[in-house]
Amino acid sequence: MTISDGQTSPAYSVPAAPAGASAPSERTGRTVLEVFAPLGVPIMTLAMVAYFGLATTGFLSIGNITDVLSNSALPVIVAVGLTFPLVMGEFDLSISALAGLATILYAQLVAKEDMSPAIAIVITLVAALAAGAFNGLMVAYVGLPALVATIAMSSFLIGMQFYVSGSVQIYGGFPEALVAFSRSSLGPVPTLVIVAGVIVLGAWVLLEKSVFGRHVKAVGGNAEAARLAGVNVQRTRALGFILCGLAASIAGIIFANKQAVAYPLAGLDVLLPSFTAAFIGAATFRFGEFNVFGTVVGVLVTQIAANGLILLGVPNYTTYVFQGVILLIALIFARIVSLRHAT
Amino acid sequence: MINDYAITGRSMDEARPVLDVRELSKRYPGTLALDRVSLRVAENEILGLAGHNGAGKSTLTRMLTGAGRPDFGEILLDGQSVKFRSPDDAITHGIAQVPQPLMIVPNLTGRENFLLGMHARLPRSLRRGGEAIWFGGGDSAEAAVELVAQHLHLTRFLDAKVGRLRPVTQRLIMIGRALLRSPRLIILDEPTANLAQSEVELLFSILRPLARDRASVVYITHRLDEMLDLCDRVIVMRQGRVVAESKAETLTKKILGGLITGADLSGRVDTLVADIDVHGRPRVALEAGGLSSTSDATEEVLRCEDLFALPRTRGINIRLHRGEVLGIAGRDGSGRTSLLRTLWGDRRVTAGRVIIRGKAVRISCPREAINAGIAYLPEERAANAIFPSATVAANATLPWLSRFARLGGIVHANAEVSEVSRLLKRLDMRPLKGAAHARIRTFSGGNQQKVVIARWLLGAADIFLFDEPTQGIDVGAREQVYEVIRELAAEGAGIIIVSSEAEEVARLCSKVHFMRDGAIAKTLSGNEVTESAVSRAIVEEEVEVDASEELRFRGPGIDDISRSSNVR
Repeated sequence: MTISDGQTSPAYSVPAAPAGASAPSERTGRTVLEVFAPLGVPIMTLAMVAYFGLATTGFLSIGNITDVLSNSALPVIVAVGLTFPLVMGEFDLSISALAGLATILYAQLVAKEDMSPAIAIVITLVAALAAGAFNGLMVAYVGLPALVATIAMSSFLIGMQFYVSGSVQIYGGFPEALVAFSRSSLGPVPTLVIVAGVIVLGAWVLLEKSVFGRHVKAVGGNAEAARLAGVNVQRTRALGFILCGLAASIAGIIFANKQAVAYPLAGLDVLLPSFTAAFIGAATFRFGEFNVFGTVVGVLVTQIAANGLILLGVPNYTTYVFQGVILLIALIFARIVSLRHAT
Repeated sequence: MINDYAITGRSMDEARPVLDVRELSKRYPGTLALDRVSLRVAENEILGLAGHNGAGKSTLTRMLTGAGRPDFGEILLDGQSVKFRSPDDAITHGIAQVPQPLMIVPNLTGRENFLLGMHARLPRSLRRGGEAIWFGGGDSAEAAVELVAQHLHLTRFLDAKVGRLRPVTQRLIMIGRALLRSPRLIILDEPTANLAQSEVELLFSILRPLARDRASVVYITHRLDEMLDLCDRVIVMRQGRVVAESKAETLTKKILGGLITGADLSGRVDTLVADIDVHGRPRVALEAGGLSSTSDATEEVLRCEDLFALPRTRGINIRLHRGEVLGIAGRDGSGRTSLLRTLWGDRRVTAGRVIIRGKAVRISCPREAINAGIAYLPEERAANAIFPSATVAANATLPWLSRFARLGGIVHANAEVSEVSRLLKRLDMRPLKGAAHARIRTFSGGNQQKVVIARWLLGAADIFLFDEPTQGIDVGAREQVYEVIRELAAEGAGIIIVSSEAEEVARLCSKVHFMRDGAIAKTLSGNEVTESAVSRAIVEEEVEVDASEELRFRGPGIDDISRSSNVR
């Protein structure tokens, strides 16, 4: 008699029944907690917006809102990529180092080696793909725990940042068209927000509508059952790591163009924010399941908080404290709900 | 309560049971794991709890040890109603469990293992000492350990590293650890699983006085000889219910085996040919109708020649024909599931051949098995086949997504749902309206199994491997599953069924192989396949397993004794 099914939380699932279809439930339906838990994050966000709106000047101004959105674009791209391994019960701690290496490698190639941007981008993406594939190989095929495998990869990639750049700051020589593009706006909307939006939509279609997404969710929901039903679990896991790595490196390349300067360890700081966002996301929309739009909301929550705290005039480090606290709250929340499921 | 007992000892009122379980029910998603289970354990009694995997023994144990909470019913301990909040709570109330896996720390000594986790929470009586504790006399935890060890004949092992002791000693240390908590009742779960016969006798010689003097025992085992040898009374569980209860001396191994496998052995055991098909027609008529035993006349869909997939599959020869339902029986762990998994490409074939529809094939992963026209419905549905949070449709179509994919690998959801709904209607899934969209965990075990069947009906398989097809599903759905299996066979599929239920095997199969140690030990076919014959054959296989295990363990076992006594 197996009883363990309730504990697999990131689940293989598709959107809920369309309105009107009576869900035939042989057990009594959802508990109060299940109904109200998904509302926690939206309520918290609204409360935060209301508080910052009242307590600071300019929080709700168009300029500031644009600012928050613009700052969210790159973290959104990374966090959405991270969502794929998370859905499968894996994770990747090398995303920040990989985004950083992409920034350095791309900058070095275009600015120092005078390579055409297109070729530089292709080379950078191929390098990221290799790193993601290696993570996937180690975790899915060799069977190493993601914790050690991706930490090792992270350390290696940080070293590569210094090696590629020769520990020298790279500035000047960035392709002007791309720099301008990264900093432009379409009307009031920053172009990068649109880029991020397109990637988010693509990721959503991939996870929710495609065959690959079904496999990802099957592996996350019950890997043993997926294997016995003919799903190539190892390949699906490895592909998850590759997607995650690609997303991080795309963000890293855009970051290089946006800043037009690159230096080792001065890239996007996306590790903790991405995990925080994804876990907040798992407490939004579909409770206990990592999902793309939830992750986007999670990024927005962290960015709104960071922005609001700066406007309040509290010291910079408060952001770190705040992020740690929300991550813990999101985790505890998810834990409580999964415990309710298990007994 | 405990002190009471220690003072008054065995002169306590015999009529009041130590443990009184009343109408305990527990539902897990999809299955009714316990269905109004009632049982009593008397003072100083050793109660045997029998039943095959999935019968509800482990769920019952979980309820009794605080690892789970029953939905309905009551547990009375010494006449007082108790509700356990946690395993710790159950121990405090006096119910201790010695689980089946060896839970010892090999690099600590016997004494350290005894005291593991005890320092912080020794009962006050133990810390203070005095007459109040069960083992009496000791005035410290150390002294209590000495006393328990003395009682279990473990004194000379107290300072030896536990990893170097032989299994029976390790088991006794686990039992001793449970005894330190002064339990009223000890639940022993398969304590002899890795013991040789001589060690089993040693263990029993210690358990008997233990029950007489210290605590009542609930003894769980698959080994029927042991159960009849050791226990005063036996309770048999099947499908979440207590189906029989009897004094051990009035039972024989044959009767007990019949009760466990669900064979009807009442009355004229040997002439029982009352087996009927799913429509209630006698089996003879069925054979005349030509459904089953005509196997040799039809095309052979699957053949195994000396198939080895070490260590669990050893030299299997099987022939499966169109329209045939072939049974694989044997006790848990005899290699039945491994055989199916090998055919499914989930175990590496080390020697021998698999021939499908006349062609030798090499299947190295489930996907290749699917492509070869095989379908596999695993045992332990929740763990091996179901994605609880996914919809019914998504659960069913998982192996066939590419068929529903449009440009760019996007799944055509409408086509998927309509196709699945059509199959669910054919399988008589109820309620059907909106079922394809609903999450599968909201359905009963029977309906979940129908979805898994639908999963494989979506393909064009003509070889079906059913592993415990009716495990954890209720009687009505059971008949429907039989009906589906019969229909598939009638349509020309070859079907292999692994089952622990004699009735199931007898009703469905025209031929049954009995497995032991990964090989086929016996085969029944045609009219020989009756409930009683099947149940008897399973029991017979068990005897021989025990004997061979004893052989395997005897050598090192004796060595260990001398070695462990020399260890400092």
